[in-house]
Amino acid sequence: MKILIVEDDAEQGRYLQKGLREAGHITQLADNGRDGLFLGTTENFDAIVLDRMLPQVDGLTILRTLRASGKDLPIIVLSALGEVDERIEGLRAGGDDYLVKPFSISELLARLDALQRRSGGAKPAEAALLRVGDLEMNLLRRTVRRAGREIALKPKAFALLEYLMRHADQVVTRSMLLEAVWDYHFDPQTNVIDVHVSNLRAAIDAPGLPALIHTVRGAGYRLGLRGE
Amino acid sequence: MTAGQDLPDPMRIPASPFYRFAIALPLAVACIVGAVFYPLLRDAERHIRAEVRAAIEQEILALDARFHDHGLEALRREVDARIRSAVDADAIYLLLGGDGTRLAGNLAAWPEGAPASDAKWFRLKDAGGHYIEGEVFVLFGGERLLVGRRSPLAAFRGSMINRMWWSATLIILVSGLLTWVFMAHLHRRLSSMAAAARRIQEGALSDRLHVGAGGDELDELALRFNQAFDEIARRIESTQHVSTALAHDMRRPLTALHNALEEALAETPRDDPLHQRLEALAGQTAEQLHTFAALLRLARLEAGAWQGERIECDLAEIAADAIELYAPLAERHGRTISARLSPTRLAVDRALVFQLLQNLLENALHHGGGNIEVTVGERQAAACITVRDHGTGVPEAALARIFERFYQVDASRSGDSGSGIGLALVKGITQAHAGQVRASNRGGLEIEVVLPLKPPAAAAA
Repeated sequence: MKILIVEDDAEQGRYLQKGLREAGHITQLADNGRDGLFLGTTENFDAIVLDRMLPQVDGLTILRTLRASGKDLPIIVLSALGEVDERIEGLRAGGDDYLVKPFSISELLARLDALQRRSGGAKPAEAALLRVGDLEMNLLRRTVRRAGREIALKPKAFALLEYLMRHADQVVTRSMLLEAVWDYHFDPQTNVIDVHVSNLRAAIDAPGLPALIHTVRGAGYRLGLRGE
Repeated sequence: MTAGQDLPDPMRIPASPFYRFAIALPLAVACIVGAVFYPLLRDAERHIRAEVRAAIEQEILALDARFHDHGLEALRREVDARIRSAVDADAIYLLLGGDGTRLAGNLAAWPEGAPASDAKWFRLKDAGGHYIEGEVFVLFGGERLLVGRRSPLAAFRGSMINRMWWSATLIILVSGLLTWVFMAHLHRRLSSMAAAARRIQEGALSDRLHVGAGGDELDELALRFNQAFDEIARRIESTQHVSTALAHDMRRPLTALHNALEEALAETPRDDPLHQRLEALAGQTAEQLHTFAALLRLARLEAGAWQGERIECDLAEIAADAIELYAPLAERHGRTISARLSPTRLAVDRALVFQLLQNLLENALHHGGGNIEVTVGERQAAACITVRDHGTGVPEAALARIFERFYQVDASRSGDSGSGIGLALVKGITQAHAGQVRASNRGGLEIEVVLPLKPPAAAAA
């Protein structure tokens, strides 16, 4: 992916560039709002990582301008303020996702990945059936089967599994799960999500069957056929 | 508020200075009055006795003169005449012959205890209980004349003592009443000071003692206390300001440190022992940054700078979401979260209320014990959220303080999970919604959040 980073803090910018490059992306850094807006409108990127507080031109202004000029690439807004009301503002201005500093690079990568697949045509078909290996989810009948055997799940566990299946083979972070399943935006500080996932894992990965839900250390979870 | 609630009723505590004073003052006044009047009474008695004796002496002289001039028979008639004329109803006479026969008089017999010798004063009590004061006079023929008076002393003393009791009672009553009125006034003012001090202690830091217009000693005292409270509030504020500024300034270097640790972590092979240590360090810096973020959020809430959206939500639904999120974690610890939720619609910042519930549940899980009960409902035009655990609760003295940032109920448990501002955020979020939060021990810690159904501005409109 070719990613534009708009970040005025040199240290933070270097960190983002390094992290994204190591993950195999091509990056370009703009260290002020005007350069960021110029690059964003004139060049083609696959995604933009945009700091909210910028000198000269503010992050939200860049966002609105880009959207107004018809750019619909995924944009992740970064903020040091880390307030829920800021998030709403950022998303309303046209951001696709919102990340609060500090975040780990794996969190940013997971979110970029999710956004990329959504916009990149690899969108999961709006089918009534999700399938990963021998795991099947019928969205209309709200049923789950593994290796032909039906598994009863509570609504939240069902939603959790649905999100994991829709993002099969992607890393999904704990806060992504919280946002998707509970619709609340905050950093789960305790292992509260882990317990839900491990309960789900106990239901899905019955003894004798190959594990589908994998823990990705330092990042989150991944549902897929192959291990870490 | 009534005075009785804030200071104990002074009349119920014998050790109270009010009580002692209310008893001691009337007693002291009564004693002083007694000490002054008792000698006066004795003097009066002495005078009365002297007068009685003078009268008796005079009478004996007159009777002696009659006997001397006209003989025994004339004396006898004179005595009879005096008794008959009844000039003095209290006068007592008895004239006995030399052989002891009664010649005249209004006494039936020689009173027991009266002397038989000449010119002897005596005082005795007759059958009727009256004191008799008298003198015996032996005539030349061996006849004995007794002249006496029923003493007015007894009656005088009786009426004096009676009056003294009455005046003592009156003194005690009046001074007691005055003392009580004064003490009640003093107690009322001290109570109002105690009540204000308690409100301040409970967290109404901007509350102050009432300073009257009179400018008396108590007003002066209240003024001094208020100045002390102002100073304390100023210092608290500057401490909070410092911690906020610190959190704000430390975020950048700490973020840089966190990023560097993350980078180093990515470069270190999984099986390198350094990897685990870096991971732990990165985790700790992340936690520190979370605490700073929460501190800044709290500072913004407290400053009233929260711009979040208020949307009408059902608190019961938010609570159900939070419970659903935490129930599996509770089960892991062998505990349950039970709920009694009734629909309660209110315009709130949904994310904040969720955070509030989350913090309450985290607190109950990590610091409380036993099963957890959550209730949501309406009560008296307010939305009520309670979260109660069945642990050991919190010492009464600490109840008001658990909402302070970084407050530890048990200092020995520092280093326990949690950033120490979970409940401070609960209070901040509650206050951002114009609500109130209370903690109490009810078989475990119960925290109650009360949010007005209508914001004050809307209610006034």
